[in-house]
Amino acid sequence: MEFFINDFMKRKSILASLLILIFIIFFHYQGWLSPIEAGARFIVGKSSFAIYNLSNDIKNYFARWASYKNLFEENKKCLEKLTSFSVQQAELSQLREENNILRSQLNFIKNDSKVVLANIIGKSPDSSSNVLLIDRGSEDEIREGQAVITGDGILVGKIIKTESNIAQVKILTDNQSRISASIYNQDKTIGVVNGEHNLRLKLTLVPLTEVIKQGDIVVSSNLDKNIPSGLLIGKIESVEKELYQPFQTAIIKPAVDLNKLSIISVLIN
Amino acid sequence: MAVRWALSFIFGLTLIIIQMGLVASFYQPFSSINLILVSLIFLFFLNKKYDRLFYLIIWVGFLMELFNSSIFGLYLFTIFLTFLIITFISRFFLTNKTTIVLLVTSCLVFVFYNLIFVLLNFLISIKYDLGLTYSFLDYLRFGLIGAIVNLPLILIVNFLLKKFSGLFREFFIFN
Repeated sequence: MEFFINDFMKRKSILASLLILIFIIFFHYQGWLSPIEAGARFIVGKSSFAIYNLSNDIKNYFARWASYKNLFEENKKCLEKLTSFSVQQAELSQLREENNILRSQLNFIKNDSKVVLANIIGKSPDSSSNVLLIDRGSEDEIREGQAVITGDGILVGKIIKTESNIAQVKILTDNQSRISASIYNQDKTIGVVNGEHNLRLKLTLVPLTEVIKQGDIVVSSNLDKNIPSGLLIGKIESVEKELYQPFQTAIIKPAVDLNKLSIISVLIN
Repeated sequence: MAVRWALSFIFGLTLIIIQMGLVASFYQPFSSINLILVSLIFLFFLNKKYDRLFYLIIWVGFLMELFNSSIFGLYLFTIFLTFLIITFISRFFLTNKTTIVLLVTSCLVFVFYNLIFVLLNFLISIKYDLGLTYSFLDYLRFGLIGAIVNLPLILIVNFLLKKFSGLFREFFIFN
């Protein structure tokens, strides 16, 4: 052991870099490195944004090219769906009107959340996590725990860290991501959506007595602070039920491809 | 000398930018490619004066810290300690510069990197009462996937380096 220590002490470059490491950590917590950190974040963020957008464009181009083959079939299905949606639309507009009248009678104040649009500038360099980096931060009123959605109102994840002009978003598929959810079924079943292997979503903690089936829509519930209820998460793809376990689980297909996002919105409460 | 320092500085920045903007956006398992570790392994393996490589490790580690959600210092310390251990292993045990030694070194880097990271992260989780939800297996699985994905990449790069050694040797930073 002594031999190793002696050898280590002879290596001045390693010793010097160890000292630098200690100083960096110390200076960071003192806040003395803030200008350097901000500068580095700016340079890396801007460059990464350009590369991320380029790679996204290439991915989307190939995805579009692959989808041309199914265009005819999809068009036919869409037209069929459009007819049924028109009927539903008529019913909905009637309901909306009724709802507006009832709201005004109840003197209900609609509390619309403020939304901050942000560009995705890249992903965290750590491959074990699924964290997006966005170009808005605490200067834009973004705080930890706030919900992140797409333009269509689909839940993407939540804010986990903010700096002045950059923030980190933990995507739903991240291994450490946990979000309470409910299913649009008769029982309004409640569960927890976990990310699995940074690839897919799993609904857990659903009691065996609840009836859930393939195709059920999963939305956020109001149990998470800062995440409003009713934000679309995805559809149930399959249900796993073991009689000897107290809970059943379900695999959820996310409503949006979380790897192809380029612009997202943060819900400011 | 100053040019080489500047080159190392730009090299570190470029690595982080490509990792964040390009590699991380790939689909799994290709997003597990760790360009930073792979590059450092090669620089470590191919340079005779690898002691000075630690300055580059500190610089790259510092840049990684800026874009990670974990507590500041965790990656910096993990990557530094990993290469410190590898330095001594290489000095006393893996002294050859063959492809097998390169593979063993790479495996050891990935094992130590993930192990140190998992242990430190777990200790931090306990500190913040998150130990109950912590999954060792998940992190170790990522380590394994990382090694499986990165080792073939290392072999390919090694093959290319040997093929075009004259060209690449011009760009070695610390030789």
